[in-house]
Amino acid sequence: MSDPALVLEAVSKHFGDRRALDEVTLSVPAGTVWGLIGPNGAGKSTTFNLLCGYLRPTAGTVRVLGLDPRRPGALKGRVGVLPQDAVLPSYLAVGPLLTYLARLSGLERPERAARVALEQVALSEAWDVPPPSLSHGMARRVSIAQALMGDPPVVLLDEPTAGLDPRIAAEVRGLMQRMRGRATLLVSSHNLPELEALCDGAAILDRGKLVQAGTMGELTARGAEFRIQVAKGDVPLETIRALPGVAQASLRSDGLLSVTVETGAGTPEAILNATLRLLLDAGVEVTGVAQGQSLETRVLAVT
Amino acid sequence: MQTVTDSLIVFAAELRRALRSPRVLLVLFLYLALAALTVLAAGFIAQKLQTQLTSQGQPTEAMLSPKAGFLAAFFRSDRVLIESLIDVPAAVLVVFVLGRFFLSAYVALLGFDSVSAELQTRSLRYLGIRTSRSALALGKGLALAAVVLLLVTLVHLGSFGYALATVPEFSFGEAARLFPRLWGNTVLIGLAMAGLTTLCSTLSRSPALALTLNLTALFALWVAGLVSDGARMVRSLPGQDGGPSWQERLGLLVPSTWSTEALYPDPGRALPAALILLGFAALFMTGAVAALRARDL
Repeated sequence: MSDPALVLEAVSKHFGDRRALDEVTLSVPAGTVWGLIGPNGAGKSTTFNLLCGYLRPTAGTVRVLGLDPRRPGALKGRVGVLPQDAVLPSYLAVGPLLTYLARLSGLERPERAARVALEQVALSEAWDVPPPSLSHGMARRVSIAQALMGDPPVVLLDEPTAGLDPRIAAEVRGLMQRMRGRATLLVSSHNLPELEALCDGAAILDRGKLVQAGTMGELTARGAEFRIQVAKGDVPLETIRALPGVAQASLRSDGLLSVTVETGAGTPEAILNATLRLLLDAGVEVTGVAQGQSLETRVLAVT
Repeated sequence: MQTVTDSLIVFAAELRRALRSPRVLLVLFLYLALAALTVLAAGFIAQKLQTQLTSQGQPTEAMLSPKAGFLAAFFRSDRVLIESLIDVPAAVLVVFVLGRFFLSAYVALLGFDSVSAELQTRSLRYLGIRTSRSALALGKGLALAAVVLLLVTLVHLGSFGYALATVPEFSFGEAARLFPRLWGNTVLIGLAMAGLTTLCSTLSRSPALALTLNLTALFALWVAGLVSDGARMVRSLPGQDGGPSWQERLGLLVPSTWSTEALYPDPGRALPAALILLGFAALFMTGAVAALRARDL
């Protein structure tokens, strides 16, 4: 992993007596896509707001690309942000608004940047539409457009696909995929399968505390566990347990076979293949295979 | 340098916004309509008075008496000041005096939500990630000041134009001499009030609260001015001696005190007062910048 683009060191944020964040330490490597996960009130939006310099931390240090986000103009042209609950300014139509924002970002050809950004979210026709006339989904797409405008090196997206129809949500996910390696993305979402498919790593917050952070492989124990969905047939459970490298194997009543691999027992893929061979030889019908826990299972376990 | 460039970008967008805002246009219209009404009423009364005096065989100089009374009510009964303004046509004078009196409230109505409304909807976050908060506060404050400048200029051009058209003895040369003095004086107090309104707008997320704060501040300044004027009058009574009391000194904190000072014909007295008024504008704007920088967006 490369140098961190986003760093929080022992960061706390209190609103009166309420501790929205409590000594959170987190770093997101540059060029990666990271998820910020947690139930409502976990501190995700507060983390975003601290990274954007909207809030001042009660304690600790926040750095974005090595800069203090509270320093005046520090994030200019460097960070694109999709705030969760901010209403688009209503005094300019979409096109002029994006041009104005591009100009403030210091982009060389602001109108061109605005048009490209609107094309990215398939909203070119909304150029002259005032923001209050946009539907929720369209307003969200305009917000995404302004965040991605000018290809900033860091993009912070708070619930980017919330309220979008499935086709547009898939296009937005595609946009984020294409930014992988070009920019550092921090994405907050309650859609955990979406994050699991998209992210290189994630941080899980609960009640203001960081409960776990790591690569997606680490979080889902991708190298230590696999699951096989059995449709029909007798599973040779004891034979599987006796395979070299298998620490544990269990079969649920719904036909889900879970196999845990011993630490340092070689490649889990070899054990998965051996298990599948055993099942097929025994005439067992297999309908699905998944490595590791789902992110959802992991999040539910720790929050 | 970046802050200056960004302030100008924000200023341009905010000015465009202000000049398209129905509320701002309504306030501009009301101010202009009130000024026009005042001009017509003052002109009509002055003309009637002059006709009456002429028919009674009295010198037209007798008209100066109600004018002097009007000026005394607004300018501390100061003889020098009243003498310097007594020859100003009634229409110009009444518009100037009443406009100056009500301008603070108009500025508050024009700009109370310039920052607070964007704090409430959090739309300021789209701007705050791209530029410094200083640039945001300065750009918004300057846009409000520009609208005030436009408003004051239109009203003064209107009243002077009316006076030139209806008062034969009011020459163009006299108008050209008088215009910068009265217009500049109103602009200066307008700029200070634009600063105060911008400051109040940064202090609250609620536009209603920002307006309440603004009007409360104006009321407090007005009361402080009254107390100061009262203390000055008491000190000027026979048998009273000694230096100015703290109540009288309270007036030093009130922009309108300096606005009156800036009206004196003596440049040695008017120019420092004008600079102090600009200082008030700068002080309030600095406060707005500091408040926006300190607060959460």
